[in-house]
Amino acid sequence: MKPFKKLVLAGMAGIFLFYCSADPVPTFAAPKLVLKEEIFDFHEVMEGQTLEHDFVIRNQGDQPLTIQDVKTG
Amino acid sequence: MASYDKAILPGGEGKIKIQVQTSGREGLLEKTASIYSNDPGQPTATIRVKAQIKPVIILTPTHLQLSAQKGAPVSGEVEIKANIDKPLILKPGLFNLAERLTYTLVELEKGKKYVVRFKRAHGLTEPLQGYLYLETNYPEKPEVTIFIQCNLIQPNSKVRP
Repeated sequence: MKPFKKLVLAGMAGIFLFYCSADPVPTFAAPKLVLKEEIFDFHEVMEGQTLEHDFVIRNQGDQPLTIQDVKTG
Repeated sequence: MASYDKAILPGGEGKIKIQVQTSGREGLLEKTASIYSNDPGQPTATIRVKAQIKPVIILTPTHLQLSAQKGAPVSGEVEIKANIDKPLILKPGLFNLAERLTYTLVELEKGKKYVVRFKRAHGLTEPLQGYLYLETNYPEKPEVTIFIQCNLIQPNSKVRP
């Protein structure tokens, strides 16, 4: 075996061993709340109306998202 | 007030409905809501709605402030104007200064503009604070309140503009 080939093989073996021995990055399954919009402006409205708006929430996680409470202030 | 979807599956969407009453409000109205969830990265999120509320009836001034020297007669007026295209009808309601002030309600423009004139002919002997309620035919604003404050001033003091 030529010395260059040996060197390449040794390098590849080293890389393989490095990836095998490295700790895997831990990932946990979790829900992820993403709001399509955070502010909504009704602009000018006459007094006496009841204003209504739906905010859309997306769950971009990999576990069910539970809305525990919504408090208005 | 808020109503909302309690559970949202991964990749799914849900809604939070926000309701805001505007009766009796005027000017900038802002409401915030805090969302509490089981998202470990963001356990609390905030949403906000805002609106510029236009009154259906305009009072000018919004509060009547009168000043007079002790014993001097005092008078003042408040203009009431309809801000929507619907005839306004006003009827006298409760007046808690009835024994100390008199008032007259005059229609200046039919269904559009009124003036309320307050007067104390015998002069003011003590500071007064009260209100006059007027009933309206607008369901969105069934009542108009005029707040009145009368202050006594010293004989040599000047009234600030």
